[in-house]
Formats: sequence, C-alpha cells, structure tokens
Amino acid sequence: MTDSSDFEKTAMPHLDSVFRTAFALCGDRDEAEDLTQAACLKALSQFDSFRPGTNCRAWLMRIVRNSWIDRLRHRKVVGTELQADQLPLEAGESVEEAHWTNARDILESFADEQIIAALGELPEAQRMAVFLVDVERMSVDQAAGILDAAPGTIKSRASRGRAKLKVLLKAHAADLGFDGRVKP
Amino acid sequence: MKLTNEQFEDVLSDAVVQGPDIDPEDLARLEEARAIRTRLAGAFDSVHASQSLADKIRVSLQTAPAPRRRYIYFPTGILMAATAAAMLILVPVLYILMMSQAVQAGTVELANIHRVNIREPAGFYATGDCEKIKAYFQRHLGFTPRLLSECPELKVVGCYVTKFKGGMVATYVVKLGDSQASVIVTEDWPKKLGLGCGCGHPHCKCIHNGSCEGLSIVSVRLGERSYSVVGDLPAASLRGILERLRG
Repeated sequence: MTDSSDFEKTAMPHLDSVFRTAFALCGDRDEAEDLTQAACLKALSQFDSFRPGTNCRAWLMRIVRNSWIDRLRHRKVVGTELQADQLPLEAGESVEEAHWTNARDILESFADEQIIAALGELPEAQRMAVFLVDVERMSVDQAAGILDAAPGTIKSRASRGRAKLKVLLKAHAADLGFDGRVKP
Repeated sequence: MKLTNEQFEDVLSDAVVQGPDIDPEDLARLEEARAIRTRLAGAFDSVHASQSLADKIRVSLQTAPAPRRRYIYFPTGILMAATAAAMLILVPVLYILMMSQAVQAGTVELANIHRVNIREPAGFYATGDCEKIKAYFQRHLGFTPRLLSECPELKVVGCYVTKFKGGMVATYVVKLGDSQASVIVTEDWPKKLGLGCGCGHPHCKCIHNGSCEGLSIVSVRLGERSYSVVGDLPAASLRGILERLRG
C-alpha cells in the first residue's frame, strides 16, 4: 500500500471535522475548502510524524489550525487575537447573573447560520475553544493540545466564549423581537 | 455547593460527575450551557465537506509528492571508526586474556603432571636405569630427551609418557634427598608455558621461574625442547636439577 493511500485511509474519514474546523477558523466556506485542501496536503507531507493509534482527528485539526496561522502571518494580520481570553468582557457582557429559563426554546429560534455567525464573532481563541469543546466534543486536554494552550486556559476561554456568545445571541434575539431573559 | 468556573467546565464536559448538592444557580447555568452546546453542535451538523471537495483532495493526494520520510541516516563513517576503535581495544585485550589463560593452563598442567607422577600411576615405568628410560622414550615418542647426570643425592626413579596440551610429552621423576621432582620435556618454549625470566625475549635460553598451587617450577630451553622441573622444593634446588641437565 502506498503512503498516499495509507494517508487517505487514515485521514479522509475525518474530512468533515477538518472542514468544520477550517470553517470555524476562517468563517467562509470557500476559504474553508481551500484551507482544508491545503491542510490535507500538508498533513500528507508530514504523515511520517503521525503515530498510528493516536488521535488522527486531533492531529489533523492541529495542522488545520497551524495552516490558518501561517495564512494569517502571510497576510500580516496576526494581532493579539490569541490573547483574547485575557481581555475583560465588555460592560453588560456578563450574563452569569441572568439566565434563560427557556434556553433551549430560545436557541432553537435561531437558524443554524445565525448560531454559526454568532460564534464567528467571538475572538478566535474563545471561538476555537468553544468550537472544539462544544461542537467537536473534544476533551479539554485534546483541545489544549490543538490550540497550544494549558487545559485551564481552554476552560477559561470556553467559559468566556459561551458567555459572550450568549450576549451576542441576546442582542440578536432582541433584534428579532424575542428575549428569553426572565430572571435577573 | 457553588462551583468554580473550572469545576463548572468539568461538570459541563462530563469530566466529573455532577454532585447532588449543586447550587441551584449553577444548575441553571449548567442547563443553559448544555443548551448552548447542543445548539452549537446542531448548527454545525449542516456543515460538511462537499463531495467535490473530497474528490478534489483525493486527486491532490494522488498527484502530491510522496510523503516525507524521516530517514535515520546512520553515520557510517562514525560507525566504522567506532568499530575500528573497539577492535583496536578488544583484540589485544582478548589476545592477552586468551594468552594469559593458555599460559596459566600451561603451569597448571605441569603441576598436575607432577602430582600424577609422584603417585606412580598405571603405566609409570619405575626404573633408575638411564638406558632403559632412553629406550622407553625412544619407543613411545621417537626421541630421547636429555637425562640428568646423576649424583649421589639425585636419582631418576621412573619415567612416563603423558598428555600435555593435547599432545604426548616425556616426563621422568627424580629423587632429591627425601623429595621428588618431575622433569617434563615439552616443545613449547618456557614463556609459553607461563614461566618468566625477566629478559623479555620470547625465545631466550635463560632459566625461567614460576609456581603453581604451592609447587615451584623452573624451566630452560635446551635444543629443540624445553625442560621443566616441577616440585615441592625451593626454586634454587630445582635450578640445581636443571644445571645437571645442561651437563
């Protein structure tokens, strides 16, 4: 069996996860496709570094994320996004004191695209922590490995990201004429 | 119990089991966070890699250069140098070790021959007649070794042909006073028998000395053979026996 077919057999089953990760990173389907393809080729070229029996999905996601960082560097737009989890929440962002008693119903009121768009508005560090932990259901440790961060940092980013997401969704909900906030 | 943010995340991700005494406010937060998780995951359910993307990637993979392989380039030069160095050290060490063992075996065999001789084993030819001894060796080995020029204190009491280092050697027993010593005639040079003289020459004609298990051994090269005298006597006494061999 050739190395390419080995790679195809090992990596291609995770193509959806790779594409979703790319999409979560760049927020654009076309660019996500391009990024996915580039990441797959990069992964193929680095296939010798993959240890059989380890988590191929996580390995691919890490390559996608690194490919994205390379692109941003190439575009010279890398800023302080990675430190976004250290930024304080803006005034009025804290939603920990108020809860949606009918959260599921409210969240179901949003279209998938609106949910994804709201996630896309989060700083990248928080967005990717929420995406990996909540969407891809990776463990905190796995997410930490992909994002080059400590597990505690991932927890903090996910928590802040979820809080901020709620703020964003609340604003959208208000625009749409419904608000599930019933308990201050 | 009020959860810290870290505990909250652990409970949310099912890393730890949710306790029964959890704070109602945390319970509400958990329910809400779970709802967000579920909704987010559901939203991304519709996000898939298209078939055209999958096909495009498969084609790219087929035409892409072969994956980089991490070869371990063995430093052949270093390996050869290391092997040569090891051989340079090992070969002499092994040679010395083997030689020392062989040499040690030589003195041990000489001592054993003497011990057997003084017990007059089966086949031991007990005679003091030098002519009969010469005939005995001629018959058994095809040569006649040098015998002692006897004196009143020194008498030959018998002879024998025995094994030494896989071959047969001549040996005869002499009586010096109340003690006995064996003269053993070998083709090996004294140094090869494990005896030393201090001159350092491998094929010298000096009298060589040694000992083994309480027995003294002296040896000298005479003609084509070495004559070793072994006995429970001072080396000086054994040397006196050798002098009588030299004539």
